[in-house]
Amino acid sequence: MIMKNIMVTGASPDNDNRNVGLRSYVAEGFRQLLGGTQQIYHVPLEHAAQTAQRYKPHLIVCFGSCMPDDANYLELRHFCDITGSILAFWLHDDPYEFDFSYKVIKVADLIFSNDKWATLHYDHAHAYHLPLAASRSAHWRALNDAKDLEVFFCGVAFKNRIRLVTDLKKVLSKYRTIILGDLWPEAELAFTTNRRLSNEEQSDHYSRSKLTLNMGRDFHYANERFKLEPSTPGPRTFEAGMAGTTQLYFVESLEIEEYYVPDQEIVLYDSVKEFERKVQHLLDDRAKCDGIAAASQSRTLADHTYFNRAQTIVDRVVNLQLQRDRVGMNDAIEKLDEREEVFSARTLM
Amino acid sequence: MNTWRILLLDTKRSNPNHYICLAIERALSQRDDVETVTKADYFSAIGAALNYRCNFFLAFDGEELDRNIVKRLASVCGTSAMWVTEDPYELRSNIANMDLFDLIFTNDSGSVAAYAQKGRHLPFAADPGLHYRVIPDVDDSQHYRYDLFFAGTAWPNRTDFIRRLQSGLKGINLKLALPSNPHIPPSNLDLPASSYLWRTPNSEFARFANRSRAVLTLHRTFSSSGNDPTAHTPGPRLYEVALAGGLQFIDMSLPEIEVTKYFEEDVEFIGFRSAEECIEKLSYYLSNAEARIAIAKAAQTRALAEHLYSNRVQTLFAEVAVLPAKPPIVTQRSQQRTKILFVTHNIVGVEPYGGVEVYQDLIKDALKSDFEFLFYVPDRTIALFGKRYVIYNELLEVIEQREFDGEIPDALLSCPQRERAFSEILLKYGIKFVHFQHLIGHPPSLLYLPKALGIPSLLSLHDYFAVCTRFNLIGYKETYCNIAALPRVTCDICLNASEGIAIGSQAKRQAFFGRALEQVDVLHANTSGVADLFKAIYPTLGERMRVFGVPMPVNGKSPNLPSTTRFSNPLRIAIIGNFTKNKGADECIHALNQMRHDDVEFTIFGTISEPYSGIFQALNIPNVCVHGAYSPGTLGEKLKGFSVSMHLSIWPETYCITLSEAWQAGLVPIVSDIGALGERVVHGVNGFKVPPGESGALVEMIRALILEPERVEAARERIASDLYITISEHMAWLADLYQQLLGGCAAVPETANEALRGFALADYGVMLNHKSWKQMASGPHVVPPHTAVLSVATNESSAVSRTRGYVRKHGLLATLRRVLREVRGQNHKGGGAK
Repeated sequence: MIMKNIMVTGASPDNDNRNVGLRSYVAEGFRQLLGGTQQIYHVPLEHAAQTAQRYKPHLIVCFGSCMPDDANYLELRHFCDITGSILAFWLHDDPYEFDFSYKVIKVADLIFSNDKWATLHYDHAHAYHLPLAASRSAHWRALNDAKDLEVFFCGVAFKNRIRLVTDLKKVLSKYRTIILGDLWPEAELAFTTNRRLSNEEQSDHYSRSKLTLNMGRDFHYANERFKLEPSTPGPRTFEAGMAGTTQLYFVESLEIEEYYVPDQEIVLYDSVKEFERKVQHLLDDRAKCDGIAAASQSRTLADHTYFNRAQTIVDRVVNLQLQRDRVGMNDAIEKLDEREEVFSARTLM
Repeated sequence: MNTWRILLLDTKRSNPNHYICLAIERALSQRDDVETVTKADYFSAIGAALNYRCNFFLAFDGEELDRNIVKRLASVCGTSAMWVTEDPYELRSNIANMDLFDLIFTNDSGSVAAYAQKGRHLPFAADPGLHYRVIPDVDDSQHYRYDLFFAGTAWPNRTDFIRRLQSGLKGINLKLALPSNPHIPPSNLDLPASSYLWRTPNSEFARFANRSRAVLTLHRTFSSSGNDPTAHTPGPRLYEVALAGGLQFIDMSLPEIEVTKYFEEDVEFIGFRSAEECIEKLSYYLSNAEARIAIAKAAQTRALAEHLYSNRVQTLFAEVAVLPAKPPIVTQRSQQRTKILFVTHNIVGVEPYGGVEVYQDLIKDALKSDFEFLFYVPDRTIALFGKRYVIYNELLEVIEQREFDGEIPDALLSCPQRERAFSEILLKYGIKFVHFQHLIGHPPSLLYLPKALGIPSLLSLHDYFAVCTRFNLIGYKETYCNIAALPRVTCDICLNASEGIAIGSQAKRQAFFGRALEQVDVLHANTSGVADLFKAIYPTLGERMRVFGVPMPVNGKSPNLPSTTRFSNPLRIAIIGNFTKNKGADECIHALNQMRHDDVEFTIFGTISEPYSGIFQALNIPNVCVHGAYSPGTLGEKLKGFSVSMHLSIWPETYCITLSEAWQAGLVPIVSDIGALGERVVHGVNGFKVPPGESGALVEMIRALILEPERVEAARERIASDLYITISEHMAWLADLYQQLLGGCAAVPETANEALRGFALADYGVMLNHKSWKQMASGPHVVPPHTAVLSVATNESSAVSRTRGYVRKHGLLATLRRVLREVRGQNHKGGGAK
């Protein structure tokens, strides 16, 4: 029997982890994928070794950032060495913290990185790209007509974002625009307010807004080794899509097209002029705007949930097990059969 | 056909073009004549070269090359080449390193001659996995998102050109990425900054090229290093754009740039010599889709046929194959002794010193015929600990001193200055082996460094410093913390209570130590129990942990081991070792005081420090003698006539040499059942065990032996020489271990003649957020009541106390007279009161 138990834990202890909530979405994805026949545990890294000893998971997924200095994986590695379980990392801060990835290279069986370009640079035989996703239970909002905001964004005012928003200022000032987050120059950009939102409030705001800005990030904590630029859109892309808003994406990478179809599920722009024209058009054509939001939500539900990502992880784990399996082809076939059973029995949303 | 096992190293610490190295790695691994390709970093390269028995070393890029590591690598692998990618911009530094390699492959044809006989030209290329994209057959507006795309650093010649193009490019859909950097002047284009100040990864560059009807190529004519500013061979994007299916408009105004050597103008790309010509040709091709797509497809076909990294690797191997065959490296046995560096906290002769220092000295003397030992030690003769480090030779003479800015914080994990100094010392003295004896006074990051130079290392676990800063594992309750059996949060509580340290600090320390210990070849524990405790904290140590006891300071198997029954009336017990709290002094004093009238004699061998000397004076226990300190190796003679020894440590000793000495002298030990003491003694067989910290159990045990001395004698008969380790046994084991580990690195040469260039962890990618593991708790924290130092409380009446003082001052007779006078007076007063 493969993957009877799965344990999802942090890539760093919870005491310094602002993204603990995301881990529950990953666990939710595995529950949805594997249904009631499997046990899915969801624990902080601090308790992971003890929990592993108790429940003997077949797969351990360390999700998050490996950057904090107190992140220690040796006990989990040892557990997996003894039991043959798979130790996987799903790191969600690439490429901004890539220089700390050396800490997982020697201990991981599988590495998943949120960023495609960064993934190529992992010196590991089993490093794969796995973007973040959205949770139906946390991020989905009903499509609605009562959108009282015209343009919305929430996030930290990184230098590139200030530059872009400053260039767009004239256009944004014409509409009901709200930009929230941290470090915004409120005096220069009147539509900005330095206020953080909870995850729930953020999804509510996406749902309230006809248009949502999608801007990249140029702030790196530890990315000197290869100076990697991000290629994969940020995690909020999927959360906003799930909430049912039309996203305006400034194109710094065309990988976005692998996730959403331009002009049908997302709107791309390359210049201030194009932005101005498209915003005007979308706000004038409400049906078109709502249609893109609805399509974006449908696409997110279909392809960009934690359920989808859990499926990718399980596929990779099975492949790895097959590669490692030295006891003969019959066992491998049996495992494949079991996987089919698991997938056919899974509870779909 | 040769079978190559390749070690590939990117020489640059920070390299945004590492994707080219990855492409080369893929191209190498696809060859039939390549058995393995190992891409390594500086820390792992020599180890990987040895592990995979690499026979070809390829250094990529050439910039920031570490000569000491690279020279060793080239020697280990035999055949070597450097593929430089920044010529002519970095030509001078590349020439300075060419002596390390058999061949130099340069990206620039104009730079080949500078490398003389070693120089070969090897242009950049493209990688199908990263760059290949399908070209549509027709001008599909869904596919072609942009009319013209340019991405590149804003070198002045480029921004000038773009500025001139701007006026003629109106109406076309331009995608421009022109990021700047601090070394070049700002580009003042007539566009919103956000539209061109952005960066994209190379994979996306290819996608932008594929999705644009035209791609502009402008050369770089700028050098910050004083070298020739123009490369004769085009950069990598020429090949990448071609493979991505972009139609290239290439600046041909610099005739020395050899674009047409690789692609045919007007057939596979469009050339221009001025902005006006560029605009004119762009206008034509943007409106002639068929011609445009045909040229893009021709270029892609050419790139697939001739300009992949697999083509370049083919060229490289054709050159490498004609190199004269190199004989396999034969390790010449040097006439000189192998140099071993002890990294330690002190040496004998510098007070206060103890067992570790004596152990080092024993090794130095015992193995000096094969090894020359140097010592790297924080100078204990100055006030600021860790400000100065001393290198001693085997005569314990100072041969060098290194000064640092200040003392070393006790919580420091990594210190770039000390790391660079240490790696320089390894190079300067031709150190072939590092034996870490103790890390107090050193940053534990030093554990990383020998491996990078191909130097094997051994760490002796004399205490638990690698587990906890409280290296005896005495917790805030002043007892053994037994951390291996408790949840890790116990450490947070202990360190918070004892030192006000914040939650998570111990986790940071252990996370770092865990990784640092992975860099050491072998860890030496004295007992399996010690090894198990370390493995409980660092479970992946596994087979790298070796167990062997440490020797007594005097050689000889059993010179004092007597078979005769010892005097047992009264029972004579030796308490051996410095009389300190951790050695069980508190519990011992309680027991001795309790047994002041028993038929037993105690003698303390070792220094009694305060408060215990004062306590003994106050208690004046009649059956306790104090021998005091003794010299190492003299104990055996002194113990003649004793029956029993006591070793009552409250911490888990890692071996306890005095136990060996007691056994060797024929004494039957009573030990606290903890650590190596509990592990080595079998209760009732070769000694007796009592629970640690339990004075009552100790008293009970001793009284039982007084009543039944035959139990002592029965145990004595079972004392055998296999209970302890002699110097010769230990040294034979250690010398064998040294040789085993040295054998694995025999092919690594010394590089003592190279300019000293030390390196630090951060230089080669081992990052920490904070160099210290200790964070002080910011909020209030619970502090346990301070454990009072043991003292003597008196419940004597004031009269008795006064009397005792009177005796001391006036003598016994005078006191008796005074007492009689007092008694008479009392009676008189008493009678009166009635």
